[in-house]
Amino acid sequence: MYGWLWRHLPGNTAARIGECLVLFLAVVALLFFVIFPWVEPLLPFNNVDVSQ
Amino acid sequence: MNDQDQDGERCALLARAMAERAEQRRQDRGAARTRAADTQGEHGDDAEARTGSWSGSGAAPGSAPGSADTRPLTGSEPLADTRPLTDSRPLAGSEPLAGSEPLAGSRPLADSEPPTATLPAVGGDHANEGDINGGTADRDAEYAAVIAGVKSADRESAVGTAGSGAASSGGGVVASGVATSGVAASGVGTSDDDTRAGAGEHQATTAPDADPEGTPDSAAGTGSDEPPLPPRSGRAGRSGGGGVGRMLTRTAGEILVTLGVVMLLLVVYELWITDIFTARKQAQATQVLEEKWAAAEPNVVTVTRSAGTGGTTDAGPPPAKQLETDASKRTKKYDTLTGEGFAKLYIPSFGADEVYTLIEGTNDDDLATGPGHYADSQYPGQPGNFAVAGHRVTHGAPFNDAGELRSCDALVVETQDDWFVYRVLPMQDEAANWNPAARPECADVKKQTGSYAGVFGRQIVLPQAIEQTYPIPGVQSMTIPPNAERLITLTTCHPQFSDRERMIIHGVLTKSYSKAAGFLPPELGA
Repeated sequence: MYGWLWRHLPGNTAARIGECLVLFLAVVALLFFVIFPWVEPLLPFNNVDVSQ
Repeated sequence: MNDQDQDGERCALLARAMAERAEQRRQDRGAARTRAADTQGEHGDDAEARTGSWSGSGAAPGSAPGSADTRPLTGSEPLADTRPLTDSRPLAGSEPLAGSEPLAGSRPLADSEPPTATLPAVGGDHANEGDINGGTADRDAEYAAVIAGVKSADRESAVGTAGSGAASSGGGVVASGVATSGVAASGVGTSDDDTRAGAGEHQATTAPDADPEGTPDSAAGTGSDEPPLPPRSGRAGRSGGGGVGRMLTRTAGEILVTLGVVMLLLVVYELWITDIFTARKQAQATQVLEEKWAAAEPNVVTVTRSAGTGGTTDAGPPPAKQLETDASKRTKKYDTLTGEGFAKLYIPSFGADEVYTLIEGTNDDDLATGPGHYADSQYPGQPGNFAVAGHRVTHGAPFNDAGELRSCDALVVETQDDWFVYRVLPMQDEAANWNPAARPECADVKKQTGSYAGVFGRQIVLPQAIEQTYPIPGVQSMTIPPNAERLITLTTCHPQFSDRERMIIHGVLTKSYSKAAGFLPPELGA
């Protein structure tokens, strides 16, 4: 998986490291801004109100 | 991530290994050919020497005294060579040399041999084959070195698993056996390495003249930092299941590691990132609220100062006594809009600057902005129950310390025109012997009786207990009875980090003030 990714990144090692960093940050941003906010209501520690 | 770092390392090592190998091969080819007719040992030496220089204790390329070849080692040079090594193949850790033709068929014995038991023994045999194969063995050795390079570079964790498990341990046996017997060559696994292993004894004598820098390197390199390669994996894997199995194993491992990282990121998100998001939303809501208040019709407060105190009206904020009002005379003049702030809640016992803009509504978005008002409950100062939900963990955790609240602690609500001071009711274990005179702040906090008898300062209830937000908490009726108490109710999750139950805090209105410029209720300081 990551080996495949590494092989398909263009440039030399330094460039690839930079690209990997950018990809990683992009994934983190996706998680923080989209996925986690979406998944959060399903988690058990965020229900603070009483309701029927 | 680590994987990528390791990949980088691996890549660098590989490039170097390949370059050195190509050079080596060029030097050795002629000699190897002539010696091929000689002993099995010498051929092994070629392979061994390569391993040595590859394993790179640093002496390798530059210090080769016998080497006439001083070309710079570039990554591309060996690729341009006769070698069928493509860029991707040696890098592919999971399927090294898959289907590579120089290896295929060159060792008929290889596939049929059980990996573990025979390895030490077959070393010699394979060395013979190496001779027979002549030039091919050269390449094989090179491949083996490359594979070993991949292995040692990325410390492949998958080696010990699944299909390659047995093979790996077999390689281990060979490697350690050879190492402890003092032979420099290590059986790194493939038959090329077997060649080396078998030729080990020869090498001790023949190596120096074959390649001066090879011997020391191989002793250090192969013995110490080459993890044993599965003896058969190269062979069997290249032609089928082993490679796929290893690739699957590796991919599964990578996915698991990735999931682990995602879980850690989720924790980071919950504990820190939501706080940042909420702080931003809260600041925005507060700003909107303050602009709304500033634009609202100014609260007309008549402050009469007694002549004795000096007389000038701008001598500072009016005294609390004069601003004290009867809550029943106050009316709600502001509008509320779901999702927007309408009041501020101060909890001095949480900290002097603990103030939250209360949001109308209790859905997830509202609560992510600040403590939310149950839309069906009453408003601050009104008879009945002013009920607010707030996070105990994450999203700024406004009610994080709800478990620390004690009876008579102040809960101060600021609206457009008024201050309302609530105080936490007696706790259940205090109620029996409640004495309002015991502490000054409790003067106005009475023990609840009648239909309010079951209402205490802190209650732990089930998540379904919506009746805790009703005018008389715990009574299933939304009708506000005449002479109803003016209560405040805070709800949050309980136990902390769980939603199994809810913690309920009840308070009762003890004072209200009109807002006036520069005036802060004295309760805020307490």
